[in-house]
Amino acid sequence: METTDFEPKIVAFLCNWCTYTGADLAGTSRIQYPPNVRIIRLMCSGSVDPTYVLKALLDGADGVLIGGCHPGDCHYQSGNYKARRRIIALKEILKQSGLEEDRVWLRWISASEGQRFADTVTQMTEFLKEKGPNPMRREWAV
Amino acid sequence: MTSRPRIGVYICHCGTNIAATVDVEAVTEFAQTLPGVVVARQYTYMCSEPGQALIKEDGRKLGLDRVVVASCSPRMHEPTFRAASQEGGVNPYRFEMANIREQCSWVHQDRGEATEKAKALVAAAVAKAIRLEPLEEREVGVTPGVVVIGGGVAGLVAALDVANAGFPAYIVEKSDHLGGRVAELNRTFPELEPVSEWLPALIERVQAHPNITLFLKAQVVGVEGYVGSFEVAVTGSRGTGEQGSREQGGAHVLSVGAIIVATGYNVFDPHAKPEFGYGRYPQVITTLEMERRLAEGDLAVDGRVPQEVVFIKCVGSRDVRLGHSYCSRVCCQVSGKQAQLVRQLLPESRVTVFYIDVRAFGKRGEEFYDEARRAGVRYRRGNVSEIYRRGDRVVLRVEDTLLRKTVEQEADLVVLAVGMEPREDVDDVAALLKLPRSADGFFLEAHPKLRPVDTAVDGVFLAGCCQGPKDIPDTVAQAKAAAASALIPLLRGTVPIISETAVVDSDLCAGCGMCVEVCPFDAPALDPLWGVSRVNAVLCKGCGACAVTCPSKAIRVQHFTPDQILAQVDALVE
Amino acid sequence: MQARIPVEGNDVLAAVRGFLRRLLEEKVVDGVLVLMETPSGSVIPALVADTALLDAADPLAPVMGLNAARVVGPVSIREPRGRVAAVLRPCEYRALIELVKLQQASLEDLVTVVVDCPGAYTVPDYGAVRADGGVDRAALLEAVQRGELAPQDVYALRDGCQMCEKPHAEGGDIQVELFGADLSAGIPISLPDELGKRLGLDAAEADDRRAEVVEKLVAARTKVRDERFAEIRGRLEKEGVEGVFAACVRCHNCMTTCPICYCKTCLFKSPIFEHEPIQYMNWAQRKGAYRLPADTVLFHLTRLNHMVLSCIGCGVCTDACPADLPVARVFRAVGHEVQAVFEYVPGRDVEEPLPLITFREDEWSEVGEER
Repeated sequence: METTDFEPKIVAFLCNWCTYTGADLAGTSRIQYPPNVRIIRLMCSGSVDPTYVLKALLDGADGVLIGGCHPGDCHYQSGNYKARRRIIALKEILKQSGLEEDRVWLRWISASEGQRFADTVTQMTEFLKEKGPNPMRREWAV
Repeated sequence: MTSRPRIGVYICHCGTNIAATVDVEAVTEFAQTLPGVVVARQYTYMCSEPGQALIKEDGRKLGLDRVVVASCSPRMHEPTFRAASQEGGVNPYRFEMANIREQCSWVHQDRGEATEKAKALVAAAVAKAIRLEPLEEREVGVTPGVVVIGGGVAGLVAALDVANAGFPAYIVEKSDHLGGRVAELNRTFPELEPVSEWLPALIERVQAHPNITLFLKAQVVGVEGYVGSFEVAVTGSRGTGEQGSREQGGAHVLSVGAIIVATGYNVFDPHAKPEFGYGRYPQVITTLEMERRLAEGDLAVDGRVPQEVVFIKCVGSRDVRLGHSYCSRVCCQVSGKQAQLVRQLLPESRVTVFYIDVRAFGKRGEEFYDEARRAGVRYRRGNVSEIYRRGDRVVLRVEDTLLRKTVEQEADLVVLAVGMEPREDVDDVAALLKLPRSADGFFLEAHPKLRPVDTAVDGVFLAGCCQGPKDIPDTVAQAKAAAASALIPLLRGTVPIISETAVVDSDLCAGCGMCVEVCPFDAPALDPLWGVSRVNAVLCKGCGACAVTCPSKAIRVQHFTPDQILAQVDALVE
Repeated sequence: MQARIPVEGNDVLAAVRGFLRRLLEEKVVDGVLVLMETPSGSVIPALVADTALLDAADPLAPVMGLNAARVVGPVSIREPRGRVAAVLRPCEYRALIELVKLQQASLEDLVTVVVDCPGAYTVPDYGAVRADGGVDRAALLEAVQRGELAPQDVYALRDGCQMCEKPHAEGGDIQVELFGADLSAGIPISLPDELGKRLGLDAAEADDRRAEVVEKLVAARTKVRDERFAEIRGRLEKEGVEGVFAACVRCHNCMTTCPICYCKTCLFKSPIFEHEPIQYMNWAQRKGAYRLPADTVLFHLTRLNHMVLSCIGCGVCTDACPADLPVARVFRAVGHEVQAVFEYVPGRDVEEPLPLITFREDEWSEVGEER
């Protein structure tokens, strides 16, 4: 089957203070996870512009992970609360536009949750393998 | 792009940390093919002196204008390589890191896959680097002086250190007295020394200090400004002190360079655990009430001297249902202390402590626990589920978690070792200072390991239990650390502020004000004359909430601009 | 108060003009922003200061070339400014409310006159109708109230109007209530008591047929809307958003005419979307071929992100599209759902905050915590 050979590409936008640091912790703890994720460091999940997510999806990324601090823990007080609304809106727009909103994951992962970061990437990779490639990857007319 | 970029790329082996999993040679060859790359090298330890020298030499000899290092996390060595780039004549903000260790070689095993991923990360870093703009290091002046919010032990110690360093300190205390919660205590553990032997002296030193101004029955009602120049508005009566403040709208306005938050904690109110009958049975009291009784040497309940005294630990702590999953850290030793004092006062009494765990950490902690047991205090592992009345006594229903059975324990006096919780006004203080809080409700430190007294707000520091439960030595240590940290900008006279701030292109700005709405730090404001947003860069923390809100991207955060991030995305999806 | 503008000799238009003239004469305002017929026969808004020129005012003209909220902004946004009465269709009023939230227009010194809207023709269709014997306003109103979408045979109302479920005047300072009224007996309006007195209007009973007519009309339009939503959702599902917008030439007309798109320069006209020549070749090599102009789908999806919560459904984007793309159908269908997520109704209340610049700590607390 094609899906078994398929290696999804995940672009992750991680907040500097929590999830990026959590990903670092997964590293220092040597917690293994699939190499399918590629991380972009931003200062806050509240600065993840939906245009970046859309660009990644339209370019052909199979999944986009947005990681931020748990509610109440934002380094900038409320960035994650605003991110939550923004990503909920984006996912609804994707869904209504006939795009696959389940390729976009928002997860709160703290600096101490290295295992949760690794688990999330593992789960997401498995999910996307099951789901199959983003049709946009081959679509020239986008 | 005015001129073609000249990028140097450096791939680190990190000994074998990277090189064992990533084919560094292949990544280096790949980097050489990337647009704008003039030189790509590999080295065993890029952070070592010779490693950094590569950047410095290439920078000068090859006329590099941008540097990319692929190695560990930027949270580790970004400052190192920025400095090296600068010495090589490259603006330190035209430096970008690819994290191929924590986020690649350490978490993957397949050499081929890890190498491909490392290549992608390097390509993304180069793509971003091409678009990086030079930024300047910035500094602002500092107003000498520190406001200390809270006149408990933490606030007193912090203020005293600031004052002794020669700077004005202003203590703002909500109540009418100094000393905070410690003033309500009798003796301290593990020394069993009366608080009266040192606290009044500490208070006197503060009151007599020429550099300290006291505000009692006072409250901070407004905070404006930023590290180096805060304006703190205080209402309430002005106590002793020489230092000046100006009056404005019925408040004293204090100009200071830093703020220390030492607002303390609330004692858990056991009414929230009705099964213990606190408030209903005179036999059930809290450790704080027990302090007073021990000070008076009178433990009688309704005139009867107690024979059976029981302590219950973790009341309001380690209790997920109450939202207090944390340990309050002092209750084990407080109950151990009080149990010993009961034994001294009433040698005939039987004293039992019900515990979930005994946490006797800290200097002389374990020894103190041993002393309690040697003094005849019985420790029994058990969860008390209910207390009810039987005659003149109360009965505790206890699940003995070692014997795994339910037992009954009669008592003449039950002492609830009540924990700590955030103060009821913690929201107000958080809102005034724009401080984030951790999940337990206490104020959040900037870094759990390396910046335990700093906060997300530059120039605002934490001391004592407002950051989380702790005992007196830890509180004093933190207070002294907070004072020392607050003194850094005061002694330097200037403070560096982040360079990656938001900027507005006023030609693009339509003045919708959404950036003003979403900024938690009041950094952008609409210019009333031109109707466009302007950023006070000193207030900006670079979080990017404004930029994401702005549809035209008239406002953007330098070093994290949309073109840079979209270029990263593109390189990663490639 | 509820009042009636007196109508003489069945001339409704003259009565409305007279009412607007009174606003100027009584110095309620310094100018009236209203649709005017130009000497060449086109209809376009103008800010009218001279009462004599109000003879050319045609506030009921069944044509919509733009959403007039766009032009209320410039005349109201900052002081010094004149006091202006703006005559608006309901969709224009709702757009105005959104623009006020976005600080692109101001309600200070503004009197909003919201008129029941039977619907309008596109500019080309209006020209054709006129050439074809003109518009019978009374017949049009009558036909619309019966629920017809093409009141004059071949000439259908604008696509946006056909699926407009909010055609009746709601909100604003003055409502002109045409629906269900016997206009020969005067035009029902509601307005503040003080203003009514100042204009010498007597209190009059509202027309009790209005509610019934509005209900019927809204039901008919909602039915059409839901059919169109179903149709466009089917297409989005089948062809994908890239299929629906496949013919887009990225002229940006939809954005230019959109009353909500308030940016001075669209992100997509900025250097961020000017790519290096080699970049196009890279993309072509990556995907085999690369559609040009580039970034069309990204443009539409980003525009959805930026404004769909505020989309008030006027439909001018569709009218403006040279490729005849169903822009408004997509934006309305998507907007309907996204707005529902936030329980947000654009144009309802100027005090209602824009959903994406506010938040509650205790909402969607399960989101992001998935294990």
